[in-house]
Amino acid sequence: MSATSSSIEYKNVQVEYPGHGGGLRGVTLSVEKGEFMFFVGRTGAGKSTMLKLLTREVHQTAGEVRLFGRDIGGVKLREVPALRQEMGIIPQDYALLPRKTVWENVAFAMRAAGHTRREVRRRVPEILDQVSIGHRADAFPNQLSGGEQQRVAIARALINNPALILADEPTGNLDPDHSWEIMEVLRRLNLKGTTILVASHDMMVIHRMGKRIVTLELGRIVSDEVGGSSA
Amino acid sequence: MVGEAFRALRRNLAMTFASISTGAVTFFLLGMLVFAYSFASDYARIVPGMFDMRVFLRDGTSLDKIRKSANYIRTIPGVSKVTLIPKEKAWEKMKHDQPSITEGIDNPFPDQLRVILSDIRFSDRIATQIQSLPTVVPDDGVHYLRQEQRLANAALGAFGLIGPELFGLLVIASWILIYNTVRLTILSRRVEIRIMQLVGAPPSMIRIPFLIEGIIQGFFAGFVAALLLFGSYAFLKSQLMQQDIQFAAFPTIPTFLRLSLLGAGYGWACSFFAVRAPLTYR
Repeated sequence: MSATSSSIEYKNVQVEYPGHGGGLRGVTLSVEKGEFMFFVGRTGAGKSTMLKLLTREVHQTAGEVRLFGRDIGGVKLREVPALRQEMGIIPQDYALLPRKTVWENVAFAMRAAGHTRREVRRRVPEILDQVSIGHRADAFPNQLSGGEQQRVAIARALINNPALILADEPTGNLDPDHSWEIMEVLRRLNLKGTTILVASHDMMVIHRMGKRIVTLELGRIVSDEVGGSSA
Repeated sequence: MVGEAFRALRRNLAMTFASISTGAVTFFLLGMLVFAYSFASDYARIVPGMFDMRVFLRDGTSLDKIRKSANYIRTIPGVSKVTLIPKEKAWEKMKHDQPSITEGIDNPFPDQLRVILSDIRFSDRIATQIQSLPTVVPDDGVHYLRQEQRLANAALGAFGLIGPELFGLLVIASWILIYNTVRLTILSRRVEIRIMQLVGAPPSMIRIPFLIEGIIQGFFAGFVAALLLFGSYAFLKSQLMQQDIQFAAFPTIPTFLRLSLLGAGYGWACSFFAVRAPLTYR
């Protein structure tokens, strides 16, 4: 596990997307190490933008974003790869390679991130077991259910031992049972100390989790609750 | 990484085939153009020798006057060589070549000068200048293949004019084709690229495989183009030899080496420019 302190701070952050609305309008928020937090809200409310500020896919037009004590706004383009290695990113569409097996999908990501072949051989089975997909290591993505595919995507997000996991609509394409499975996997990771930020609109699962919920509306935070009570 | 590049090329076989075949056709056309140039320049070198002029001198012109006329002709721009063919020598040759029609008649030939040109573009002007000499038979004293020289001259001029433009257009067309192919390859592998960017792969790790693939594709495109050229050359040679036209030997090793290396370099350059924008971290 990474030794860095996993705290995130958004200070009066504004994001403007040229040509259309959306973005953020002065968001201030703090996330403590080991927290499990949901960003909820309608499409265009700013949920994904909150995550993309941390991955540096989006740059704030005003305000400050700090990750592990470092100002993300000051991160240069050439430093983005190193920044991404400090976190695990889970996209909504899984982004799996269809012609590679589960094992190869994770191994490919590890090799791309600069891990040695030996490390890959040693760690891939561990990571797959961590998300309970080790038994499907030789299956191709089209042989997996949506929930299993998402678990592979989570496994891939773990290759750098991240202290922070960002998941953008991880249950967006799943039925309630599989959605719950995925949340359980994320909960297990959170119990080991990993900070988890999830953008979602799956309110049923979110309320069932009983974690911190930050609601965004038109780029502003309109509520910040933990397990149904105000934070 | 080279192994990875080959594996990636195998996985995207259709795209790889499209890229290599496009490149091969382009390099083949470029190669043909180079050969046509080379053939034309060889031809341009021998054409003046093929189209010499015959200058017929008046009867009774003294050797001294002939020498002076020859010296004067040598100073005309475009003239390469002037040789005296005495009428006795011309008659001897005629009698030797055509004994049946020369028997029993007197030598009808005047003394002649054989004028070889260094530049056939000036043949008309040179002929007029020579015709004006007092030692030359009036009106019809200069004989040369006027129409043939004009045709050859026009053909060479047109080739010189069109050739560079055609070459330039082919280079640009091949650039666009290979560039687009690499872009399409990147597009077909956008998930791979996205994954690499998600997990923080260094930019070089993302780009180098595409550059290597570009080099490999370009190399094979050049090699296939060389094969096509070799085949075309053999076919042309077999056809033209029947018409008694001589062909220089095909420079096999230099052609294969140059085209393959040119292809590899070209593939690298195209990939380099094609991957810049789409592979930027976002």
